[in-house]
Amino acid sequence: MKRLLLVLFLFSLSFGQKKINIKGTVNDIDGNPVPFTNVYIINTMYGNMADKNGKFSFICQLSENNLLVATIVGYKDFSIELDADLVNGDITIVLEKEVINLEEVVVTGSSFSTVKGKGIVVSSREIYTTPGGAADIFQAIKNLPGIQLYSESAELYVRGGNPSETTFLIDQGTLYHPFMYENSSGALFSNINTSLVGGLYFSSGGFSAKYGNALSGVLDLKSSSEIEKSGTQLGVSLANVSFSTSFPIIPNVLSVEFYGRKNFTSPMEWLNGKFNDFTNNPDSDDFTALAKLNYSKTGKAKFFFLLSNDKMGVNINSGSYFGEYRNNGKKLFINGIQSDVISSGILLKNSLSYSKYSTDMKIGIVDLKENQHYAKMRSDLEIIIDKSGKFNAGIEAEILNDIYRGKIPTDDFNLESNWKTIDKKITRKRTGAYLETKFSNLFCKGITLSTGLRSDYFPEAKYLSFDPRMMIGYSVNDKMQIKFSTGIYHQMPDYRLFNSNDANYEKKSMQAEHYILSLDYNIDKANSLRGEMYFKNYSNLPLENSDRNYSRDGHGYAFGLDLMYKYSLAKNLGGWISYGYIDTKRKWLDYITLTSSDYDISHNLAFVTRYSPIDKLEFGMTYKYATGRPITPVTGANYLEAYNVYEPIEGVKNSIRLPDYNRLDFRITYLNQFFDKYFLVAYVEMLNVLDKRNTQNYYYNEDYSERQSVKSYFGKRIIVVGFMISM
Amino acid sequence: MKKLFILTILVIFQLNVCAKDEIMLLELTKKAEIAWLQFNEEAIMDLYSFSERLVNADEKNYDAKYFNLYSQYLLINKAMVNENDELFDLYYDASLEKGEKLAKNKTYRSEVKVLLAAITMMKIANSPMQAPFLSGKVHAYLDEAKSIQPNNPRIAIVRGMMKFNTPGMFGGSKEDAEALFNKAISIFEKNDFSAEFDPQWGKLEAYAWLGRTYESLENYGEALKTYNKVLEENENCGWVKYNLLPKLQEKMKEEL
Repeated sequence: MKRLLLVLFLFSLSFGQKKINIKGTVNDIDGNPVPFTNVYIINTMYGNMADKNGKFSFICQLSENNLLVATIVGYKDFSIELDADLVNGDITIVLEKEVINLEEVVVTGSSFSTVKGKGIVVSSREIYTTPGGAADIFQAIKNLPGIQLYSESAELYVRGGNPSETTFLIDQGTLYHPFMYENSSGALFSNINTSLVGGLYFSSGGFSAKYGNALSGVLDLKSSSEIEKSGTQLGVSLANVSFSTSFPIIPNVLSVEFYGRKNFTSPMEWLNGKFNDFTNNPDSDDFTALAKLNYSKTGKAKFFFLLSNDKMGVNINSGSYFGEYRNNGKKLFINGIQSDVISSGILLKNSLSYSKYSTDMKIGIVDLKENQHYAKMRSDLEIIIDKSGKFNAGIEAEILNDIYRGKIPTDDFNLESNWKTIDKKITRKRTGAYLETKFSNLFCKGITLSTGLRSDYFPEAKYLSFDPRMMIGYSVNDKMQIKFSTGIYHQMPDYRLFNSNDANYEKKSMQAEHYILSLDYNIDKANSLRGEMYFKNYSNLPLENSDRNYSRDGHGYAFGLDLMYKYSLAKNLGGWISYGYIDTKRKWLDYITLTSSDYDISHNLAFVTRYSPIDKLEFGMTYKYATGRPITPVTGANYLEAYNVYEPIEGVKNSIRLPDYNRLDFRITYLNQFFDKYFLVAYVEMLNVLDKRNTQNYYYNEDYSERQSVKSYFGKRIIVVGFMISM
Repeated sequence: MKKLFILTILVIFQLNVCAKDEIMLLELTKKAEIAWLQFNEEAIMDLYSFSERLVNADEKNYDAKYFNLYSQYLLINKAMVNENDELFDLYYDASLEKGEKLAKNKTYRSEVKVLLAAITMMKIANSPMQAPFLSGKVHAYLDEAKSIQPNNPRIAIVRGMMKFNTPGMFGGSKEDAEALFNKAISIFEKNDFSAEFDPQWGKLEAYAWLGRTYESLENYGEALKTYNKVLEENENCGWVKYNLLPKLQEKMKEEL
């Protein structure tokens, strides 16, 4: 009996159920076949892979629970209970795309990026090893076309705009003071550690509606997202000591990075001789922490923390003042960003940032403390309409409080007597929103159209701006693309101009219109050319006015041509050449007529090249040339007996120029790996090899009868040596 | 008599199961070989899908899990060739997670660590700036694999690929790569490696990579011989037949 039961049992395993044919098609939501999808019945071997047309079929035996699943990487898993209707007919499976990483819609007018598809690609390594750049992002970007070499500072003068016209973002948070050693001549380097940067987007014009309150440019950085990054770096040079470490706390879920740096100048002075008449050698320290959290398959969060402190003291000579200038700056920046795919094809990003900047400046009778508090929130939503279309929207709100306390001079030419106290709190708020769309292959193949509308409300001015922006591109072939970008851009002027006592600027925001025509030609993967012509029309600029201190009648323009050739002539020889021509004039502030602005630096040339003659060794060279910038000459002076000082008499505004700027930097880098684990990068950098005494300004004697050059920071040949070990 | 009958049934059943496992493993290795030889999406996805269905039917089918990981390694290669960064990252993240889980099984640990090293090496190739952080990881995977199976030829292959692809300034060496590929070939030829689990792949890779190494050392004669050796072993090796060999012949013509 038992034997019979066993035989019956085995028989039932093989022949107890009816064999049926399951067949059908796998499509995406647009009806396109999804080839090679794996279609099978859960917990069984029954199944098959769809062919290249998305069709599948297989024979199976159905049991009680027959759950049919379809899986393929890049799409959401599909499952359905097989019933009699499905079994007897053709099954149509529709797969939804699983969106993990969405890229924002970016109107690529004049853009450069570390990411393919967002402009000319500039890699992190190119930034890190640009000779003369000291691995500083801002200094490296200054070698791109469209940026005028106004001074040796790290600040960006983009297409005739001053540095405040370029907005700087980290993970959507705005940082108003990214520099160290800020003073009247600019700031030499930034506080941003290059190794913490995961992506970079820089635009010198025609940028999308996503970016507000910027007339000229955008530098948008993303911190590193590598959750599994693990390692330690130690760097030592004559200019700084740095240490960084990164490690996962919970693998694939939570990781942290820490970076600390101490900058100094004494060892450099020991090797190269004194740079300047420092009373307190510049030194600074900064600390950065970055935490990255993957809280779900699609949900990510990052926290960025920056703390820095810098100080310097230097003797200065000016017509009215011979003495010491001291400055001590501190900053704190905290930013949190969270992003998640909230539905198929919909990405939401939220961020919240806070920064505090304080500075204590002393020069002559001036003793001024500034405390700035800034907070911002931002949300961005991206919706993929279909494979050729995207829709983007976002809102942001910010508040800035600036408190000035201390003593300032009554007359700006007299720093030795007559002062007044200041105790002012200035508050500025802004809310903004934008919408934009991007469509590829519109009307016909190769045409891309991006359109956007941005609106910002400035409560202090009670002003609401509307900025339409658009870009149309046409891919002539797979190598050549022509683009035209245009748009309106608004930015509030220096908020001190809203002071009703000494400014009283009319309630309106500064405006610029951009018109950019560009041609990109990709010769091959490693060689590319770009040529751009642009016209920027400024209006509503603040202009001194006898009735109300400042009117909004200021205006101006910038017209120019930017060229860039990024080359790789051989595997071991590459770099880029950039050239920019600009003609820019303004009538604003104290200008009487439309005249060359301070940033009208007609010709800018940068030649960056790297050559590795042998393994482990790389030679790099950067050559920069720029026309001298316009300045206003002093033609005489009036003696003011009451104050015992001379008041300068200025000549025609910006009617003379400083001598042309030339600088050649060399870098020799030795790279090696040992014990398969440790990387050594050792370098010798020679700045201003030609020992060119570049002038960054003039200073005058007491009665303004004689003038002398103020030499640039790198006004003599300087050698820097250093090394970095990664493990 | 009754006991004998039941025992016989059980033995037959067990033999059937074992034979079935053997057949499945043969099928997996065959599909893996085709996937590597053809290196087209269809063949690689066929291995991926088949191994995934085997795991679906039996959660403890570690052979299938291993070959599923191997198929992902090939898909990562394919995504890099096609410059599809999105797919690259999807496969890369998924394969690391699967690999680390599978490495907990002692029988498969060494082979899985070799695959994880190869996958991490692909990440370096796709994002060279990651090299300072990931190359140590590659070597750590290989060291661990070697501590379990000192004579595993696939360790020498991946180490050789690493030496071949790494720029000299970062410790790469074509001469070291040549020695490592020769070491792997020697193990294969002498049949000097045995293990409870042997996924078989690697012999043709070692020859093809050795050919590439000779070529980059400008030893074109040896490169030609080595490519021909691959085609003698299997004339369907598309990488050598349609890519490496014609390019070498063109180069040799130019030299003349």
